[in-house]
Amino acid sequence: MIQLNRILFFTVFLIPIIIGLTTFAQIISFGGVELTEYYQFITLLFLLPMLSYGATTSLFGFLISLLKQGDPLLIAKKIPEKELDFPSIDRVPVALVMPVYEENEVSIFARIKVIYESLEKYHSLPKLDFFILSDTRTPEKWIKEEAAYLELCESTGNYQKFHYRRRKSNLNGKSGNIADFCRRWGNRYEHMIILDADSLMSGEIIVQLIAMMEQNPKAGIIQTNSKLFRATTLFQKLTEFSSYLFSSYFLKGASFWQINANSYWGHNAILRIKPFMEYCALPHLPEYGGLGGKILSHDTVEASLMRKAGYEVLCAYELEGSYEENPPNIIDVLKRDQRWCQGNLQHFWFLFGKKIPFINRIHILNGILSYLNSPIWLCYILLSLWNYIEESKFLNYSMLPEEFEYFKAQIYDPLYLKLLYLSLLLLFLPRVLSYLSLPIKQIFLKFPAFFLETLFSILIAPIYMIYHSIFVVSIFLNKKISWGPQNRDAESSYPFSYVVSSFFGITILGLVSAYISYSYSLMLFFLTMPIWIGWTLSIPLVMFTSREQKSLHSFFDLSYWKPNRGLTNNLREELARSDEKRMEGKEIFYALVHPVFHKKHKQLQGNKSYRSKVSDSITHDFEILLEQGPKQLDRKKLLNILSNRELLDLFFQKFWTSEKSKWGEYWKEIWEEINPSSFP
Amino acid sequence: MASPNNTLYQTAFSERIRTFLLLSGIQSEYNISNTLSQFFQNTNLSYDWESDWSLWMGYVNANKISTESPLPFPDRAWQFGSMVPKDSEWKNDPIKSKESIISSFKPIFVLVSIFLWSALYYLIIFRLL
Repeated sequence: MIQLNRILFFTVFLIPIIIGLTTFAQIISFGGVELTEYYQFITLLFLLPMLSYGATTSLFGFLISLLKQGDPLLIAKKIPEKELDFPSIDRVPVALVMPVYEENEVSIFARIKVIYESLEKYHSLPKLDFFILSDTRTPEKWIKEEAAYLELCESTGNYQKFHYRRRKSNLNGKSGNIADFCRRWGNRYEHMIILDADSLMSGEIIVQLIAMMEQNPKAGIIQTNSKLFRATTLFQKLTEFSSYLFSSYFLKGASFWQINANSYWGHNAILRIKPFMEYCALPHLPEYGGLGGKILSHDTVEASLMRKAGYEVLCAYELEGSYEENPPNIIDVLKRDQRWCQGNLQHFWFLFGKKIPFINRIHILNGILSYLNSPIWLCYILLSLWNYIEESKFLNYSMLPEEFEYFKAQIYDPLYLKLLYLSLLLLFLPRVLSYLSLPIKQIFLKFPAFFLETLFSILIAPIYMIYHSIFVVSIFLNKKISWGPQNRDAESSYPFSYVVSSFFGITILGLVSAYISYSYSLMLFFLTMPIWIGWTLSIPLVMFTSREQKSLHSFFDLSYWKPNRGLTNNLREELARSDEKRMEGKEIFYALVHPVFHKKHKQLQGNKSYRSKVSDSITHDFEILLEQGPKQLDRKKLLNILSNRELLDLFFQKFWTSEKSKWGEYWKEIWEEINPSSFP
Repeated sequence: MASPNNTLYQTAFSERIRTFLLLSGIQSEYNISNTLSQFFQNTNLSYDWESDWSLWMGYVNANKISTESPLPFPDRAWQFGSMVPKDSEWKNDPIKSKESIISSFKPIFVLVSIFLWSALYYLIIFRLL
């Protein structure tokens, strides 16, 4: 049955590719095959399969959604609440893990609290623990995270369930963070649920995931369908709408043929820890420039390794209640894409890895092509323009005028149009299918949003194409890209000058290509319009979509899909409640000298003893810290002091027993804030 | 750290103690002044910061002024400590120095050679045959 599904899928997948390639072969065969035509054919060999893959996936997703029973081969089916065996679920030790790196601490702990409360409300799991695994390097941020953590423990009255640890050395980034968790705590838990710093999950879905893991002992990973939420800017609204409208079809279609080899996105999923630790250790890549080094994007690789070990990777797309956020504007998406692009291109080495299952090789190839196809598209467009013009010229010279006219109108152009229609069909089929499958009333209600979303994706596609091409080229040229913290905050939009300087080049490119095509022929001007119009309008597009367009909000009403409003509203309330500013600018003061917080902070540090005698360099660091303030001390040294119980005690003593005249500005300012000078 | 002027020292020390109390969460000025006067009455200050501060800390502990009980964490000792020895000069990427410019261009060589080979095929299939 599984093989049948796969054969069916790939047969449908191949049909448009064969039609497209034969049509194109017909086009280029007039008057001999030129070198440029030959290369255009090669680019088409990459582009058509990707187009066809998307269209076929959504077609099968659409067909499955027509079935009343759903996909008969879906393994991770939602378990009815009556059939859930709560006592046995309670017995499973599970860790909910959230790796964070320089994120907004209020947002992280508010999420954990909302998830915890949602679980308590639905069904309390005594053996589920929460882990916040911080890789934060900034001392101030770290102290704020600790404070938020303590607040979470206090407000829930639960000190046993929540764990916060900051890694002293953030080796290997996020995957190293998880690996460190596995080494320390892995053997205490059977499963772990991985969340991103912007994820949110309901208690119900957590219970479902644990139950599914128990039901399928062969399942290594179960991925949930995470919807976007907390959209404020127009850009977020558009992507949120498209995630609700399209993503479930894609997942259904993908799951139709992947069955037990679905993709894993690295978050909002549950993993079986033992096989994960045994088989999913990431290898170090060869040191070949941009494609080598450490693996930046580990999810696909981990899924492949899990499958290689004989475990299944499932997708529980039926479950509701898994959410994530989207960057607030196009610039942040491009920054994220830059990392993802390098991460995905690195998977090149795994494409030919030993014993990796075939379907996982398809996943890997899919990931690589989703970025590599941008420069290929660019080449295709340029080559097709060149070839069209050259071929017309050649045929024009080699035929009589009437002959040429007849040939062009009856034979040549229809073939080109056939290819164009085929690619348009493949491109828009997913959209149209998922839109038309809505109830009639919803089709009318959702039309403005659908129209805006389609318009937006037409305008944005050429911009992405250029930027992704730049990313790919820069990676091939070994311009290293390092992981940076993400901007997930919708309020912090970029200033106009920044947007102009980022998109100035692409605007000029748009204007120039519009001019060139216009000067050649009016038809070319209109034919190439979908490409250059996006480039030309990039600056206003970025500015417009990165703002909150309140007047358009009513179009993007998601109530038809029934998102878990209770959960998301809880998060909003939690975020509004927290008082972020209490510690701002005083973090080091709190950690080092505040009589109460200092003790708490000390308790959170390891109780390893230091040396028998405090070295001279530490004494020197203390002097700098006291006399010049924490800003003047090297960050590593400050982190060292902050993470050692003995040094914390020593500095506490030193501060409180030193004369005020010796203090640096930092301490004096805070002191004066507490003691207005009128005292005594 | 003996202070030349006892009055100045007392002022500075009482300000210090007052701040300590404020930060410990005792906000009422009445309570603060009570605590201060009691402390000063019952203690013989030696006018040396270090020893006077330890007297004050002893007073705080004896009278349970900052009643901050230890946090009810489980035993956390097993959670901490780094896998990396503290004193080691940890190099994040020791193999990095091996990287040469030539090897970093390998993906480009691969791409260029794909183009060249395909051009060769083109020449053979469409031009020579």
